[in-house]
Order: sequence, then C-alpha cells, then structure tokens
Amino acid sequence: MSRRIYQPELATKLAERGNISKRKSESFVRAFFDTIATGLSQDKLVKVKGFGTFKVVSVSPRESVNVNTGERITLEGHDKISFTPDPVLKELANKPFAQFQTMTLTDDVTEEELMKVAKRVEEELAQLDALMPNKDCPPAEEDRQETDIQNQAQPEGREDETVTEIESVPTATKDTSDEKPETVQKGESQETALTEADVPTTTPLAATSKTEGEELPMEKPEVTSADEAIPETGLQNEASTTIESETEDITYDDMPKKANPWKIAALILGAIALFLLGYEAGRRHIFEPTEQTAGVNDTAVATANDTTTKDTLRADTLQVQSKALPEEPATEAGTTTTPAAQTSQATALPTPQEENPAAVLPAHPKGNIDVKGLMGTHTLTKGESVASIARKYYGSTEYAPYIIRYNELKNPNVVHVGTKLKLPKLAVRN
Amino acid sequence: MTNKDFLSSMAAQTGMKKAEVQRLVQFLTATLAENMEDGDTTAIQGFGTFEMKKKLERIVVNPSTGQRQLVPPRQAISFKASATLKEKTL
Repeated sequence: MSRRIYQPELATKLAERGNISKRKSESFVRAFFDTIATGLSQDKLVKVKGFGTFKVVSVSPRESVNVNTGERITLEGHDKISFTPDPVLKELANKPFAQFQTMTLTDDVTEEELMKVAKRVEEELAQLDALMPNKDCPPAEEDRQETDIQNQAQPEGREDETVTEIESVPTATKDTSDEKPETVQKGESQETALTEADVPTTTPLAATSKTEGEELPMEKPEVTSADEAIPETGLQNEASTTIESETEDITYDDMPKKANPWKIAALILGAIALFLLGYEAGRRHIFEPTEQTAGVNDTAVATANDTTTKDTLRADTLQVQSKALPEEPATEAGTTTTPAAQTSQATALPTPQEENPAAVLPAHPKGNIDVKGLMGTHTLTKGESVASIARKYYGSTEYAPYIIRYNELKNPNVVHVGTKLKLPKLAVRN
Repeated sequence: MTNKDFLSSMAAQTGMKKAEVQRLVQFLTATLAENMEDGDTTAIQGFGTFEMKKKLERIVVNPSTGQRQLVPPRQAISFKASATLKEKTL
C-alpha cells in the first residue's frame, strides 16, 4: 500500500532509470527542488515541462466565526503554494483508472431507484432459476421483459452507455445474469423445437391460434361474401403461418430475449394488414360494377323523376289499390291493365330500351310491381352488374332485386362475364 | 520562471547541458509518477510531499442543461508544501 518515499530512494530510482551515477542523481534531485524553491521565491511561479506548475497564490482575508465563543473573527489573508500537475503527469498518475470515461446519465435515474432495481432484478433472477427446471419458459420470460422495460434505466447501465436501449439492459443487469441467458436459451430451444414440430402438421390450427383470433371474425364474412377471395385468403393464411413460424424460429435463435414481443406484434400487425389488403381488394373487385353505376345513378333518378311527375295521378291510385290488396300474388295480378307502352316495350325488348320502361315504371318501386313472364335476356359484359342492368332496362337500380329473384342468383355481388340474365317483364300492379 | 529559465538555472547549478537536464527532468517526473501510481507518497525534505489522493466516482449536474454525468473515480496528485519551503518563499 501507500508508503513514503524519501529523497534518497527517489535519487536511486532516477539513477537506475537515467543510467547515471547515484551521486549525480542525488545532486540532480537536490538541485531540482532547490531550483523550484528559489524560483518560487523569486517569481512566485515555476513551470516545469512535463511536471507541473508551482505557484504562490494569495488568499484574501475572510470573516469567520469562532466555533467556541460564537464571536466573529477575521482570518488574515496569506499566501499559499499551489501545485498544478502537468496533464502528462496527471495521466501517468491516473493510469489505473484510465479506462473509465465520464458518461451521461438518463434523467429518471436516482440513486435509490438504482438500488431498488438491482434488488428486484436479483429477486427475479432467483425466481427464474427456480422456475427453470419446470421449463416454464414463456411466462417467466414475459415477466422479465416487462420488468426490463420498466427498468430501462438500470443502475448497472452506468457501465453501458446506451441505458435506454432495451437490448443493452440484459447485458447490464447483474452478475448473475451471466447464468441466466444460458438457461433461458435452453428453454427456448426446446420451445422452438416444439413449434417447429407443430407447425407443419397442424397448419390451419396454428394459423388460427397464432393470429390471435383477430383475423378470424373478419375472415368469416369475407368467405361468405366473396367467393373469389377465398383462395386468396387461404393462401394468405398459409403464407402468414409459414412466415410466422419462420420468423419465430429466427427470433428465438438469434435474439432470444428482447425482440420477441416486438417481432410478434409486428408480425401480427403485418398479418392483419395483409388480410385487410386482401379483403379490400376482393371487395373492390366485387363491387366494381355497382360503384360504376352509382356514379351514373343520379341521372337515372333525374329522368325517372320526370316520368313520375307525369304518372303522379296513376301512381296515387295504384298505391291505394296496393294498400287495399297488400299480399296479392304475382300470378294473380291483372294482366288486362298493362299499359300500352309496356306491351310495346315487351315486343321490342331484346334490344335495350331506356325510355319506355322508365316512363312506365316508377323510379322507386313500392312493392306494387308484378312480374309478368319473361321480357328477354341479357348477356353480361365486362363492367356490368345486376344493378346496372336494372337501371338500363327498368330505369332504376332499385329494380335489381327483381332480376336477382327471377334468376335465382345466389350471390348477386359476383356475376361473371357471359352470364345470361333473364329479364322479367315488370308491370305496375293495378 | 518558465521551463526555459528553469532548465538554464538547473544547468548552471549542476554543470550539465540543458538537453541532459531536460532528459533527467523527464526521468524524474516518470519516477515520481510511478511511485504515485502505486499510491505511494513522495516526501522531499525541505520542499514538500507529493501525495496520491483517490477521488471517488460522483455525479455532476450541468446547471444550465440539467444533464447529469457520472464522473469515474480517479487518482489525483496533491502537493503539500513543507514548512521550510513556506518560510523560504512566503
């Protein structure tokens, strides 16, 4: 430990080092300090390169209090000798601690917190060790992750400059953490083995279980509503499961501790996004025709409105009739009272007619429309939908249900190009 | 008294060349530093003592930014002038 070295010893050491005679060394050492002393008394300042600066500093008088009596006394000003070591000497003397660097602390760390966290980490590690034999990996891991995230600013993080980064935390946790990762990895390798075994055999199950049910309720409507979208979603499921299993394996292998919750979350989000994308795409495809018609719908309504003004009187009477006979079967409807225009239309039907039916049929059917046999057929072309056909032949998209019912379409949202639609002959019931 | 003055004064006193003096001063400094590194105190009679003081790690706060920094422990050199030196110089 610390001992005192006197001038002779210093001289001896210097003689060895400088390869000079001991006598010379002794005289040199004496001369060295003598010169400094004389220099100080002369100039009040001595600078020696590589050693430091000796300076005479004056201390101004100051007031103080006598501790025993409580009296105010004045301490007289005096001079003192100060020594400021040269940076070179400082560095040499500080060699044992040279590897340390000043580092910035994060704001929310107090000394007590540091101690607390240290304790808690130890406890958790103990718990973890206790749990390890039972292979209770995932919950323990989750716990640890939570606590780690909470205690991002760790006391031991002092040595680690990136305290806020989660990944740096485990390295900075504790001495015992050296044991912990090994055990955790063991458990995880077991788990990965399990998942690997599960995934190929029970793909659909894995898909449902892993996507956390969020996909399921959304998936079902899609399946029912859009037949075309089914294979897509099926593919997606498979893809997502494969991706998931792969990424899970990767995460477990490479970053066994920290990346899991984030990766899984990102994975789930990605799966949902993919799913929504597919769903949206499917829907777009299905509703493409109707959207087109919706744009033109206003004009149709406008033309229909003109006709309705003409037929207001008739419509009124018809409504009264329909109220009187609310549930009259379509077959029993009077065939005699078909308007003249309607009949003429029926004869010329296979070619599309827009003016005549609109003139006859009201813009908004109110349950008083009868089906009177076949008017003609229409072969669907690209961009057409049931609604657009209804508007074309009957003047309003609101007549689409008649076409749907007449053709017994199971899914009117999906009609294929080339499908022959039978067009019912519609007439206002008298 | 600058380093130059010091060296010339030393040279005159010991009868050595300035370069030689400079070399020996370096060696002396190195020797002192070596002693201090071990935590030893070097006492020069009639001059003073060079002591090694251990400073603990501490947290410093930048008053303007409020940023806190952890200063690592270090060894610092302290010099205490002897009574003889004080008498001589002051």
